[in-house]
Amino acid sequence: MEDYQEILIPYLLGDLSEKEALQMKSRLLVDPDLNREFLELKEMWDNSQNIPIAQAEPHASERFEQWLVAQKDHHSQEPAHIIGLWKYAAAASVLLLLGMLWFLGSGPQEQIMDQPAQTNLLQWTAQESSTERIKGIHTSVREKSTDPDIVRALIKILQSDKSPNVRLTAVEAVQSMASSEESKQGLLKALENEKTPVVQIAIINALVSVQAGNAKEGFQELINKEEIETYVKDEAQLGLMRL
Amino acid sequence: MKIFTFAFALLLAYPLLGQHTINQSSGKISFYEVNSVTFEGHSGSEIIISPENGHDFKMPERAAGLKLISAGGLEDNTGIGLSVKTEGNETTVAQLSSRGHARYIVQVPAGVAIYYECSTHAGKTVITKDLESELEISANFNHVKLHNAQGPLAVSTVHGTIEAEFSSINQDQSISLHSVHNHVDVSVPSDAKANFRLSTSWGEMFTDLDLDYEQDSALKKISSKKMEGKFNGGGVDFSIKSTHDDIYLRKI
Amino acid sequence: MIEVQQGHNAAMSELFRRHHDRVFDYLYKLSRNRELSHDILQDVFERILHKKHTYQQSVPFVPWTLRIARNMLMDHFRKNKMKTVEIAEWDKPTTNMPAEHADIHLAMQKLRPEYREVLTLTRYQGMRYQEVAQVIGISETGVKTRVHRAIKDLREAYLQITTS
Repeated sequence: MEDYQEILIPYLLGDLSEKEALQMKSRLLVDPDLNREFLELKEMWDNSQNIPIAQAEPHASERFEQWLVAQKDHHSQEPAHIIGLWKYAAAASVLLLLGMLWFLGSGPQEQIMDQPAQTNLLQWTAQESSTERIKGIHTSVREKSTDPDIVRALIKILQSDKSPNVRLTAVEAVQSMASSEESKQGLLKALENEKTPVVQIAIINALVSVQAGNAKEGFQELINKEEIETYVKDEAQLGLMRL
Repeated sequence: MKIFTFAFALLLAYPLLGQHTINQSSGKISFYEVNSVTFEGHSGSEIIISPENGHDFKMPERAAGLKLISAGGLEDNTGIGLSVKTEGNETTVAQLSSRGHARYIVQVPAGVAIYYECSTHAGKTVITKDLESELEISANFNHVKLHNAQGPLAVSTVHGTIEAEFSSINQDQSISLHSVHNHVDVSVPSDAKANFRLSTSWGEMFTDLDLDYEQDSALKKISSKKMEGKFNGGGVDFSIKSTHDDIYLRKI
Repeated sequence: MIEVQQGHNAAMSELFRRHHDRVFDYLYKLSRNRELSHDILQDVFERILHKKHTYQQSVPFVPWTLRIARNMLMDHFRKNKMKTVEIAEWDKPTTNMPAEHADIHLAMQKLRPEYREVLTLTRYQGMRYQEVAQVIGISETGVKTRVHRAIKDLREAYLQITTS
């Protein structure tokens, strides 16, 4: 999948294979421009749902009824004007029939072809829900995608996501993947800017676990910073000993 | 008759005193530095915040006729010591008095996601009961106790314990419970489905669940204790982590 | 429809009542002409009653009906040598419509008819690609591609409208 832009629409409609859709989801997490484009597209598509269904004028029904009345029913010879009276009796069987036709035919309204995908997408990419973004991280990592973008994606999430719990999951995910210079640098950079203690501690432990030798300096800096909580400094101190 | 009407009106009005109602059944409600909160799921379409009996907010006598304000310029617009601001379907709640000992009971409709953040020592146990909403907690000192939980959840605390009893496991989104310095104790129904991911650096892991372990991941990390396993065939991603303490995972 | 085949006109009346809005919407979104859509709507159901003996129970009723509607509309266009009506005749968005809905409404009207058609069927009639294929007589893959292109054009038209 080279050109993600080209497959935004199939993705929106749920027309991609599961694998492709997953790649797209991961891509959207890291590519803010693409994500913006997708959100705009989705907004337009959602808005398009609001175009009202055109309705025929009431006279259309009258006209057809009149035409029906004018048609003599060849089989029953029943005067057509009593249709209205026994219509209700027939309604039950007709309803059953219609139900079957409907079932065999177009399917009820709830089965709109893009609905499941839509709902899915809404959860994935509107990205308002932290637990949904966490799920996205788990899924991307589980796929063990060979896409080198995944680590980059995780680092980006770590640097920009507004939810501490999402950042926390990103740290764990980076830690669980094969460590590279890029991931170590990314973690170090994130540690500089991170404000939430629980995430700071997680980054420290991740850096220790991938044995990032160059983290020592970063830890020392953290220990010297006034605004850092003591218990975070303790963790950094412990980290220094373990590196 | 007039007296009756008056008395009836009083009866109606009285329980409303000291309670704040927000007409919101979707979107999000965020709590910042509100020390002590109990979240309860309810079927209504309003968010109702009320101080717990005996733990309600009291203005000092000397402050009679004055309004409580915060250093950030927020003011008490609820009469119960909280500043509440609603824009669209997003509500923000902040506590004004940093030494406030009031516990607030917040009744939340299922469609409203909750975000709770508290950084100070004053943070008490966050309790939830029968919550169906998505809940995210980011805390430094609070303990977290969840009754009849189902998820989705994203909870992290540095010093607090996390104890969670699940009545079922919501298969949407994800569940993550993470404490740095304290234990995480989780009970789940024996027929619930999940992909568990447990990890600790310095603690131990205990369980009575029959999990299908993924060998691959078990081999991958030996330095820290980490395991992944499917329960009842697998399901939603459910991660439990305690960096320095133990993990307990049990079935009900 | 089986009852219609057996000569029950009441069943026909019921079929009309149930489905005429759907058929009308399809005709109208394609032709953008209310009067024409009303006329063809009437013709479609007359044709159904006349053709009732050719209906096979294995064929889903709605796609079958829309296919008839489509053929009749196309016939009409061919006879009258017009493909689309002038923009002036198009429906103006109603004034109480929020701006973003009005914009999308306008954008939809700028689409080529075959694109508007597949969007109408999938988006508003809730049809699956396979059913749309039955209505317009192309392959399922063909429908899918057409829907994708339609949304691409719709987005361009929408952007033009919203940025101008």
